[in-house]
Amino acid sequence: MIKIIMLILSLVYVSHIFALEPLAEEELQQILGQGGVYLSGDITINETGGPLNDVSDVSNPPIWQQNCSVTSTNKRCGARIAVNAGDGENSGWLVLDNIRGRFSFEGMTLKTRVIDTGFGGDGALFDSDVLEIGLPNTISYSNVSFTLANSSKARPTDVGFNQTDILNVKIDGDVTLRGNLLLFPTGNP
Amino acid sequence: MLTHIMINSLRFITLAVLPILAHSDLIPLNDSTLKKIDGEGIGIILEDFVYQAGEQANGGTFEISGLENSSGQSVVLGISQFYVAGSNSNRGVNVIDNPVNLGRLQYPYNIELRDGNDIAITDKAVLELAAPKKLVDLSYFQTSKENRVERRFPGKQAASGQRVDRITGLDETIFSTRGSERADLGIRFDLEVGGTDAQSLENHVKGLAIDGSYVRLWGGEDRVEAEVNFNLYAEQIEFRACDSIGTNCGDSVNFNNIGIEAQLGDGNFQPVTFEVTSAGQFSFLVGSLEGKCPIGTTGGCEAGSAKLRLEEYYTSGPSTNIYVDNVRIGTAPVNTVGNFGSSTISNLQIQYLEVTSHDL
Repeated sequence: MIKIIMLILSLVYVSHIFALEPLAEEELQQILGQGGVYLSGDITINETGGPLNDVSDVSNPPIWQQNCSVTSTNKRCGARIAVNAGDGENSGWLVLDNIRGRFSFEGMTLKTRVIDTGFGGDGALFDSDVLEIGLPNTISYSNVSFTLANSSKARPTDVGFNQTDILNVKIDGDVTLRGNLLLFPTGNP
Repeated sequence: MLTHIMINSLRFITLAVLPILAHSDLIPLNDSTLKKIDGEGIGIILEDFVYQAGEQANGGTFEISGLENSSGQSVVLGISQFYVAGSNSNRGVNVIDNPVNLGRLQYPYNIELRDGNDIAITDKAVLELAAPKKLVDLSYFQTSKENRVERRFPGKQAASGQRVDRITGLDETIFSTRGSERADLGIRFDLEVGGTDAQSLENHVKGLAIDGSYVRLWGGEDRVEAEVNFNLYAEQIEFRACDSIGTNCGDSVNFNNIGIEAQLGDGNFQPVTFEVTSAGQFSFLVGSLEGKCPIGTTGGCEAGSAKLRLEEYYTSGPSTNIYVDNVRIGTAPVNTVGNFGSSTISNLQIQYLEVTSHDL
């Protein structure tokens, strides 16, 4: 009995195959793969000196323990990015130092879009797809700070370390950022 | 058993026949479609873009510190407002509902890896960061030329030729076309010296375009080398100082209808370098032309390819032109005190430039 049911089912399967029909161009044009992604983000960089810093239990010191509260000026609390545009050994480093704080945003969108009108007449000529990143209107900064500096060595622990801080930037509050960021391939083959 | 074989056979036949049943058409791509697809670079456009930050605009804290004045007092710049918006923002008053399109679909901001041999940077892969191209691929400066016979250096042979005499004007159509793509941007900040508010300064740029600007970067002998083309066109750049509360402002200094076309560096013949020295000091260098040709007995270049290359450099190499239609204080009319008229720097060529920082 089961075998008979299976046979019938397999015939049903075959009849479905024969129902496949090619879609005409006009029909295909009606089908839009709409959709997108909605993103919210909350990024914290070394707000309390990074994940290794733990002052909760002084009797059992982990790798290091530092006071990295918001008001602390301890430079070991922040992240450091050092860039060398020369030949390494014989040149110095441009540094973003003591990077700390928290950024958060909500409502960033990600989708594709066809542009064939607008843009002062460029849209019709362009007539192509773009990746659209919808900016989140507001980005909240919470005690974000960084220092721009020139340094003789990549790390503060290197021998002969010498650093000149140029300026410090501190942002605590909202920043308005509206619009869409459009990305697409270009180039001259 | 037989049924099993039947089912399996049926499945096999079905799967074998399936591709024949699927009528999909391979359509040839025509030239106009193909030429759009190459994927060499990434185009970037900011559509309906608005940016605004600052203590007065959005509350909170936004400050730059670590600076000192000549008496050793610490100076803090509290940023009241920093904005990027569409034109006619009225000094940053009309920002939020006044967006701007940065970049255009046909000529976007572009990040691209280029073959150095195509752009006179021999045998290098070049990273190019470029602003939108100009609508017209020509300088916006109108110049007049004249025939001159002069000595390039005292005691050397006189040479004659057509030289740019002066800039007679700027093609000001750039200030009246495609207004939605020209940005207003500005910054207002309060100077806090030694803990007390000292003064409030403002800087506003109206109708800014940087069409045709680019930075090209490649790996040189032992450092990053660059070629920079910086173009700036603005309807107005304004500087203004106010009292510590930000009211009672003085007259503003206005630079109206400005054009700057600055070219720095000439491929790897004269590269621009940007680095920090081993002593931790910042250094910016436009390469020297010294020793680019073998010196002959008369003190000049010996004839040959090196000399031809230098001649090409002087004829059509990188140069800088700056034109300001009108500089004035407040609204001072032409031919009055406070109206400085038009200013021009034309055909400036940099043969060597070194800028370094020093600790005070």
